[in-house]
Amino acid sequence: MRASFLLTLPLALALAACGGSSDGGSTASGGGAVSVTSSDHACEVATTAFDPGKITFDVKNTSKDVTEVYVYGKGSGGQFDKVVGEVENIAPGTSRDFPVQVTSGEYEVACKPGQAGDGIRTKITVSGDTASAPQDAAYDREVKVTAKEYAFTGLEGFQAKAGEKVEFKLDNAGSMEHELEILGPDGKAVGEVGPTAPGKDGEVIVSLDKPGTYTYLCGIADHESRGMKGTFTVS
Amino acid sequence: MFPTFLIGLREGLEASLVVGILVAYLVKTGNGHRLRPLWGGIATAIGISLAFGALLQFTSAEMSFKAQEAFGGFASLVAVAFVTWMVFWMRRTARHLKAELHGRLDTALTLGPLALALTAFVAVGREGLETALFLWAAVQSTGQSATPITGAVLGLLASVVIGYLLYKRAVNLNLKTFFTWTGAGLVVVAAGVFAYGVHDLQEAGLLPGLNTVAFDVSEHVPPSSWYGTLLKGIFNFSPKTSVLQAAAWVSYVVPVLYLFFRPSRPAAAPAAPARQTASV
Repeated sequence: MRASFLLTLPLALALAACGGSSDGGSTASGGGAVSVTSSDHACEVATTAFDPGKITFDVKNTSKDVTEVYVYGKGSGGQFDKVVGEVENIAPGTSRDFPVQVTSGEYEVACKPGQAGDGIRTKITVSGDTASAPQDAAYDREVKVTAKEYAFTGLEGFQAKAGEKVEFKLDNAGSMEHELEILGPDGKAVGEVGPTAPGKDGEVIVSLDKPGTYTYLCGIADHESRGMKGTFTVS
Repeated sequence: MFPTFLIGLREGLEASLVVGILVAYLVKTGNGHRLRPLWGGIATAIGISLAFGALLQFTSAEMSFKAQEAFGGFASLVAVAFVTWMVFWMRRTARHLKAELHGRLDTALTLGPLALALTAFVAVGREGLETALFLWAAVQSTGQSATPITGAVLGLLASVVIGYLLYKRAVNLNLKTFFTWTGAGLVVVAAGVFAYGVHDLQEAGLLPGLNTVAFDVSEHVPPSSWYGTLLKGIFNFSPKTSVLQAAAWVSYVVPVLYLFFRPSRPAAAPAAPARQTASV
């Protein structure tokens, strides 16, 4: 028994780790999950324009049937039949979330109440790079963060009020690639500046909706444990 | 409540059937004391699945779609290997029984505890993660309604009851009938798991041909219907089956059933479909 336990657990954890890796990009909604409502006759996707990178869809099933949601990209035949993400067995009244990695292009989100057929489809568009997305333009203020081996500077004493939209501008002054991930009080990612090369910069706009202690860190290799981590408070 | 009940039933059914047959086998051959490792394997699989599922549902940990499908696919292939091996192991024991060499039963069972535990572990663990995610999502929504979790738990319990009834029935069969039918049943179940594993690997993009469909009867056999549930739960039948999936099913079930029903000879112990051309 022990042998099987020892064999299986690391495998499962390794898979989770590679699935949860923080690839670049932020979503159009500022990093939070995009809600999808799957009802008997509709499939409502809260946002339909996205930046490249990772999107997390949070699916709520309001229909009477078990549903599943697929995200399709264009397959070799030009049809939307290449599965890029999927979540099955969403019981009525429950919610499930799932991550999807997208690059520029068109995709279709398909809700399948009853778990059969082609589904009710909503087209979504992924375009441009993170900086130029127009819906990201509005923010309340900007804060500069500098990354070096192995510490962040610029966020000491930073505070914000709940509801503020803040643009975090990451400047990589080090000699290695760094990134800036921001986690909300519940530990869930609210936004990130993806891997940024030495001498380059990047930014992300984060809605600091909930009060509490936020954590920021660099998710590359072991940078976090070497000191690239800190917290700030939203009141 | 009914939809969640059906999911619970479907996810639990196949594991319950396999476990029911294994338990019946042990009890029938007078090896009731070997049940302990079997329960240990089941408990470990449930524990790991629930813990890992909670991690994914309640924390920011995520598993990409590909990783999840690949995990499901490979776990299915491992489960098929174990169940197949188990079937032929039981068959060999049956031959000793037929020859009234009861004393040799223990020799056959020396492969015992770890193998039993691992078989139970993969049989339950294969669908464990997906089931755990489904359960935790139901738990999470209990704030709004307790209906989903009630249905899910009742469904899983129903599958356990069915497994128990099968065990009760199987234990009372005569030995020859028992070995023939439970063995053949396990082969058909394993074939379904094999095809399902292939489908998972197709969804993960590790195997091609996901959209090359052999047949699609989802109009007539809706996956959320009770009969769709039973077909899926027992035979892993997908109303929409890809060509590769169908080919995998046939290429497993035909040679394995042939080897299983082939008249037995003293020296043969085919754990793998190794071709033996000697006269029958």
